[in-house]
Amino acid sequence: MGLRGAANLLPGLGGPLGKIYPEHIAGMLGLPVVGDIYYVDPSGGNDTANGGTTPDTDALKTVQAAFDKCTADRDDVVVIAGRSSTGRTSEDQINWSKRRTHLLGNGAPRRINNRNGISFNSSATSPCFTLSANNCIIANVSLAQFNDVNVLLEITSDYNTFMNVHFQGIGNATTGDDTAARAVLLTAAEENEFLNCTFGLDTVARSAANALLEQTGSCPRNSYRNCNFLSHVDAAGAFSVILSTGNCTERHLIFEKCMFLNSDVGGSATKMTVHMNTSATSNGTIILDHSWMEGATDWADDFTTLFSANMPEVPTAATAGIMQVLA
Amino acid sequence: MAKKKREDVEEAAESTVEAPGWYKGYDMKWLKKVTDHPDHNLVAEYEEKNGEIK
Repeated sequence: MGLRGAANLLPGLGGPLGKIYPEHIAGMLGLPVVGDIYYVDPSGGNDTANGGTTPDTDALKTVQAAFDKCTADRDDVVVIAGRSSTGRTSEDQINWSKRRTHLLGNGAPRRINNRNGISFNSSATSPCFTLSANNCIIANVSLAQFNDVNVLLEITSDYNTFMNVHFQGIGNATTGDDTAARAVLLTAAEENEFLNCTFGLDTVARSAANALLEQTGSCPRNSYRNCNFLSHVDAAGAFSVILSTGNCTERHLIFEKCMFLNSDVGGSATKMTVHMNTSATSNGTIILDHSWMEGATDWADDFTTLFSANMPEVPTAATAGIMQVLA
Repeated sequence: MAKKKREDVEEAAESTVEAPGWYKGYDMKWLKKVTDHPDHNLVAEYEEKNGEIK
């Protein structure tokens, strides 16, 4: 394959011994061009001695250090190229505040437990990760908080895309007992897209009326496609999703080919009353397209705004315990 | 953030009948793998009472 762009201008990048070229990163993100690339190696990197310009000898240790070097509106990319089992960094809270700046995990593309990502430590305050900039791509990473901190990710911005991201929030049993806990919180955030993502963990029990996802404030036209919502609850009042405030599903919200799962089959978790805490005043439709749920008595506590498309019925009682029809 | 005291959580957990392999709100097989989890010490406590998690 011929090398183009920056590889021609900088022979060192295009050399036969090079491993990753800017155009490769661009291709992984689906962008024709990218700006500067900063590499993070959670186990071998060094924020003090290194500059992040190469994935091996010059890698940084934290995403925060790499993000600090990025410039907004240049399509700069932070690449987590881990060399440990989890490939996760340890960070205080991060405010991703630079528009058109992207985060990419270098590893197997997958929906669950991506082996590159960010783990927030006990010094992080809620929310651990704030996405306050528009037009960003977060791809192929896991975001994790196993300490008692309520919100893993809050999005206060628009037009962002998440691909292959596992939001490992509420990863602490104490947090699971707190009604304010959320894995992902959208606050007045619009037109964000989540593709092939996983929300939550089914290995830590939740017993309060908290949720894996909440939209609050004016949140028009957000969509979730091929996403899984994983729960293990030990009280019926926990939710997968909270959509209960005015305008929180403005215009529409789409769940396409999503699964809402609570591991009650086999006698471990408690059956949830509903997966969705919904409201008649959310000012838009919630569209379930070819989506399924298990482990709850019903989909939602208010069906005023809940619409279905391509939702085949489960035919027999024998299978009804595994998946359930809409209403 | 309303932090609960660990004793309260333990008391609540102990008052609940948990499924096999679960202990104080965690799937112990998972917790054993997550060595950087702040409650990873519960693995040893669990194994002392119930034997090694395999």
